[in-house]
Formats: sequence, C-alpha cells, structure tokens
Amino acid sequence: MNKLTKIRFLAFFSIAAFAAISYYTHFLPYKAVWLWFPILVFVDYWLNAYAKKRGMVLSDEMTKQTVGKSAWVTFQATIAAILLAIVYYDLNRHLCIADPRYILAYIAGFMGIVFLLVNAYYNKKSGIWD
Amino acid sequence: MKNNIKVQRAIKDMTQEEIARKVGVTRQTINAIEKGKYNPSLDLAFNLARLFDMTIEELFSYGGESDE
Repeated sequence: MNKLTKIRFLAFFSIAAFAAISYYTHFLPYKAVWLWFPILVFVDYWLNAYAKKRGMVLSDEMTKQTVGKSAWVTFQATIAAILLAIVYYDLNRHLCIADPRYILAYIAGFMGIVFLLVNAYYNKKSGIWD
Repeated sequence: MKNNIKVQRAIKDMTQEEIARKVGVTRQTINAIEKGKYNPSLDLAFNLARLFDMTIEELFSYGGESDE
C-alpha cells in the first residue's frame, strides 16, 4: 500500500467517523447525509491532484487491469445476486411495493462492497500493496 | 515469465521507485514484475529493456504458462 492510499484511507475513515458521530449525537440532521458524498469526492480529487503535482504515477497498466477485472466480477456478482433474489425471495412481488430509491440504494451498496472486496483481493494478489 | 530485473537493478544501483519513474509506472508494478506476479505489456517490456541497455530476450525469458 503506497502513501497516497494510506492517506486516502485515513481521510475517508476520518470523515466517515465524524459523520457517524454527528448523526449519533444528533449534531447533524439525517437529511444532511447527501452532503458527505460531494465532500468525499472533493477530498479524493484534491488528493489525486496533489499527488500528480508531486510527480506521482497514480494509475498504470497493472492498476487499470486490476480495476477492470474487479469491475467485471462486480457486474457478474450483481446480476447473479439480482437473479437469485428474484428466484428465491420472490423479488418480483416485493419490487412492486418497495420504494425504488431503496432498491437502487441496496444495489449500489452491494456493488460498492463487492467491488472493494474483489479489488482488495486482486491488489493483494498482484502485489500492489506489497 | 522469468526476468532478471532485480539483478540488473542491483548492478545499476537503482531503486524500484527510480525505475518506475523512468518508465512511467507505479513502484508496485515494478515490484510485481520482479516477483513474477505480473507480466508487463510489450510496451513496458521494451521500455524496461531499453532502460537497462538490453534486448527483451536478455531481460525476460519464457518459463511456461503464467498463473493468471
């Protein structure tokens, strides 16, 4: 794991921890949850810009290959999960009564977690974190 | 795919970071190539060979099917 990844993890977990504590202590209203996404995107963009300015190579053929493989596995897992949910949990009936925003949020959350796990596995396997 | 990048790097007294900067990839990629975990593209292999003043055949040797 390089320095940039460590700083990125630290920054993201700090923001997530602050957000969690804020909601737990009712310091911020629940509606403000959407505010965190632009903040995370901005921090990510700023870190990348700073690293590029310092002459750091952020992505190359190996990282692109790893991300590509992870994205493909995530896509396959999502399609499989949706099909399994339809077959085993009678999702067709539930989809008619559920709020589409929740369904989209569940799918996005599932894809995010699967991508992170698969990408971490491929990173470890290809030695990116060594 | 086998390679002797580590040996050549030691001869030239260069770090993985220096090689990575010269050929435009991350240090982790050079590390993965050295350990045989990643097979570089033809483009990168040519750049590495050029950096060490060698031919691709001298730097890399085919040792059978890769794990990927």
